[in-house]
Amino acid sequence: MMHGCIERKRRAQAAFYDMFAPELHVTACRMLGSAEESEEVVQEILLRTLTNPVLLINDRAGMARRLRRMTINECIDHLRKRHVTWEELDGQTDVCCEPDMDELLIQEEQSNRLRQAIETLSQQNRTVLQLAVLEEMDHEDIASLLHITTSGVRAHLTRAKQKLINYFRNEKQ
Amino acid sequence: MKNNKDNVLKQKLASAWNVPPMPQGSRQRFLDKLKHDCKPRHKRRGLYIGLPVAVAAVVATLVMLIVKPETTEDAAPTQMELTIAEIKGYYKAKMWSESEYIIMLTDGLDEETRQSLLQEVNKLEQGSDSLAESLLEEPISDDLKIRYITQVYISHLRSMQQIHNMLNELTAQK
Repeated sequence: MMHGCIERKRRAQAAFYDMFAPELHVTACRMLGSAEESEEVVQEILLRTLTNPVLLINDRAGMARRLRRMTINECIDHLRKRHVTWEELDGQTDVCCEPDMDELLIQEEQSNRLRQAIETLSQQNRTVLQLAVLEEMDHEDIASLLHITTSGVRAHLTRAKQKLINYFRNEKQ
Repeated sequence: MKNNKDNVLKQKLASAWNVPPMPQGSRQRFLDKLKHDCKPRHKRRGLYIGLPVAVAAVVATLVMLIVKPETTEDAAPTQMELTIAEIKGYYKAKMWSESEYIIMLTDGLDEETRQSLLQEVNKLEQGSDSLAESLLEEPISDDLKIRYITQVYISHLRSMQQIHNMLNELTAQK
């Protein structure tokens, strides 16, 4: 397929789209919250890749990683255009840490409640949660991407998890 | 143990954090865009660079024709200058091509690394010209000037090729 893409064969390019677009759409849509904007970003990334053979890698996993990273960067640019910025949070004073927040979140059984809880998060916290947990990015990578420190990333992540837990607690009361 | 918990949390969030499907007709729109945009980006970008350069060249020629130089014979380039211009043109074209690839490959990198790499590429591109200029002023024979200037361009081009290769490997590993 990659060979076909380098030679600009239509079927190979369509297969490339079918292989990577759905996964990239999920990543972009979670970050941007809009299917239309996500379509724009995904198409831009795939177009950029298919028209630059030097960006194509003959390894599916490697190609997927590269495309995902390019999509994340593009989404961050889109968010910045919306004036979303990530400020440093003071992990010691501002964020209340519970001993095992992951365990508490895992125990929550209703996924629709979890979804509602995610929607209550700020764009900043939601992005950090997505990058750290779903995209499995290192805190250092997230920090350099968002122009904050790694402790800032940890503070955003802790605050996001804490807000989710608080949401469930308030629901129960 | 920690990894297992991370995976469970990831699955839990992923299943809850579902997204709307891709808009209808998305695939067709993409294929249509691709059809109209199938020329490589660096070549498309070439149009944006090439067009102003071509316009500037035409304007410069017209100006030269209208305002005739006072001493035409003095202004004629020597054989050595012509040779150096050819060498410079040849290697600069290769350098531009390398820098285009490097710019594309730095897309996925963090901003700080990207900026420092681009600065390095810029230094290599501009550094070769200033070194060549200073070599022209040296009290050495024309043959030596040509040889040294060629070596400068070759070594700078190689450095850019090394950056290109490193980025290729880095992105393949990611």
